[in-house]
Amino acid sequence: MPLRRVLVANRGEIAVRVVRACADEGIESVVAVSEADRDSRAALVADRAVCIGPASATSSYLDIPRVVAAALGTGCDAIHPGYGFLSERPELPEACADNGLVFVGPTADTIRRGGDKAAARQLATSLGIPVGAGSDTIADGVTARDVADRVGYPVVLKAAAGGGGRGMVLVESADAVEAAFEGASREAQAAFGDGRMYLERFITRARHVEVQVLADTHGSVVHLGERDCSAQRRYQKLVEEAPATAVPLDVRKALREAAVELARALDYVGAGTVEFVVDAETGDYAFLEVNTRVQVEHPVTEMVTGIDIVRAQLQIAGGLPLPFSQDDVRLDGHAVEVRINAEDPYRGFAPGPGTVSRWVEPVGGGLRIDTHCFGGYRIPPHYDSLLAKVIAHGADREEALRRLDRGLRKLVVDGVPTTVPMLLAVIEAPEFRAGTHHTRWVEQELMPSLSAPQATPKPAAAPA
Amino acid sequence: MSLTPADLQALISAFDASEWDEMTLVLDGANIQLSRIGQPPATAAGAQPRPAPDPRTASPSRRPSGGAHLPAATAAGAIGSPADVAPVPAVEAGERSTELILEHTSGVHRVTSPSVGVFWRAPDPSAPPFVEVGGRVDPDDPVCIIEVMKLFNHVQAGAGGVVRSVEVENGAMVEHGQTLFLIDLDG
Repeated sequence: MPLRRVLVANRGEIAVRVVRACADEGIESVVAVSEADRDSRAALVADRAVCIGPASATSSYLDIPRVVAAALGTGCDAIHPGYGFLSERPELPEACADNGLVFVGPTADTIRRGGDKAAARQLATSLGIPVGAGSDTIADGVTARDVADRVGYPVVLKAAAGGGGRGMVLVESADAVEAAFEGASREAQAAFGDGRMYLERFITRARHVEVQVLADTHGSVVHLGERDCSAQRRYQKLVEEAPATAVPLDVRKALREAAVELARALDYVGAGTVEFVVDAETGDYAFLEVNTRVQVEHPVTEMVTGIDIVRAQLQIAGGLPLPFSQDDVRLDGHAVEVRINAEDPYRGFAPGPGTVSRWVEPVGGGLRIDTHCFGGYRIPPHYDSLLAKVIAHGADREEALRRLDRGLRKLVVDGVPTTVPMLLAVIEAPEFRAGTHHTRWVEQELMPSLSAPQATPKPAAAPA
Repeated sequence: MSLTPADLQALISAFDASEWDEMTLVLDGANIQLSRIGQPPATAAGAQPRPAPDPRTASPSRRPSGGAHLPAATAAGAIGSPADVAPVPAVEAGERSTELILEHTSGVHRVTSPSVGVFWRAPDPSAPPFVEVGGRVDPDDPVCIIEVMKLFNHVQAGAGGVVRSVEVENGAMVEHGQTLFLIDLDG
């Protein structure tokens, strides 16, 4: 049954984005806000806002009973979780089902099977999709050395309980493996209460490529092409683009097929992303993980396909079939997105909460700005520092980057520091222009070369 | 005398219809300030010299009391009434804003909801309410239950005094920070 009224269980730009999709679908939106977000843009543009708790996310955005109570109390028939917060917690779709609400996303079972790294890796292997060369859990340093000798150096030791870049140790040569294993396992035990380690061959020049999929409740699974998110800092994406033109087309086609196959095997419903790592030198690829939600970088895919992914999520959750087939999906031109954070790149990326005294968005063809900011907006100190995403579309990568560059230079943000100067440095760097960058390039090569603020391109704050 | 929400509504209507920019009323210990400029009147604090709070902080103590019988002020415009979503209580662009300030330091204590949830005045449907208007409460006395998905949270009065008003209908949904009761403080 098509949705009538949706509770948006999130904040920031993604809450605004979901409200927009609801408006486009003719669905009423209710935004669940914390005390700190009562006057947020999402609260103001939605049909209604409901304050569910104090600023602390654990008592508001992360509190499933409060979120469900807000949905029931306002007569919503569905909950959209956005990304982050509760979006990949299987308990939320379960609580929705218990209370007669629709969860905009896959089932709890799919979230569990897709989210468990070991289980997802096994599923991929069973489908013949390559996973990183390496081991299951390793018992001791001697075994670690045996495995490392087999897969070849460098290798990376990973804590089974780690994630998001934590609990990883890079090992360059055989004589260092055993000691590294003992140390890393001890640290993992201390940090995660779980000393289990596994080992993978380390790809020196890795590209992060991910495939967007959409699946409806009628058995249709399609991909919307892939995104390249190789410009990262500390495993956090900075710049994302579609399609992944730096990766050979035959590899991209293999990734797209693998993603659809994996989604089918997971009985996937809704929007999801299958992430891969691609070795820039050999073209070999390996499955990384499945993200069972809409992603921050979904707009670049929307820009090249013309398909509104969040509206599709709402349609699928309402039981409607996808209105297009795989053959209808066409990739048009190129799109690039940057994430603008309220952080000072010259002070160790220290977050800078405060008041955005002026906010003026750039204009121009092919530009899109997804944001919750406005002049006078006070950035609460309780949440992440994402201010906006600036997305540029062009007939080709050159044009998209030219538009993005100008857009970033004409964006006016006063009152708080932003990462714009660093983002400009990224997209203007010859390596990025040539598409030869990799996931560690920003930290290893670009950042050390970044000079003082006055020598680095800054966004033009003055009127032209 | 005690002020009911209807009294406050009447006051605000009269103020809205007037040409005044601000109005201050001191009644029986309650200090009521109305202003068109979206700021507490600078001079109104006379009896209690305190810095004028920033209206943008929109703290619960300066929201229209939670029964939503009052016109929504600008800052609270999007935070809806507990009623159905359809009549969105939006403030028309350009409409003159009316900020109601009920100075709870001057003898009235507001009991606010600790969470979103359902407001229950009694421990179970067959039991009498925890408190009635005119009844005395001690700070630790339970005054209501906020139900969040079968979790029943008792809310305490938080101050000793006499219950002046109940601001929410039994069984209604309330938001975090919404006013549930007004209590006339002892002394």
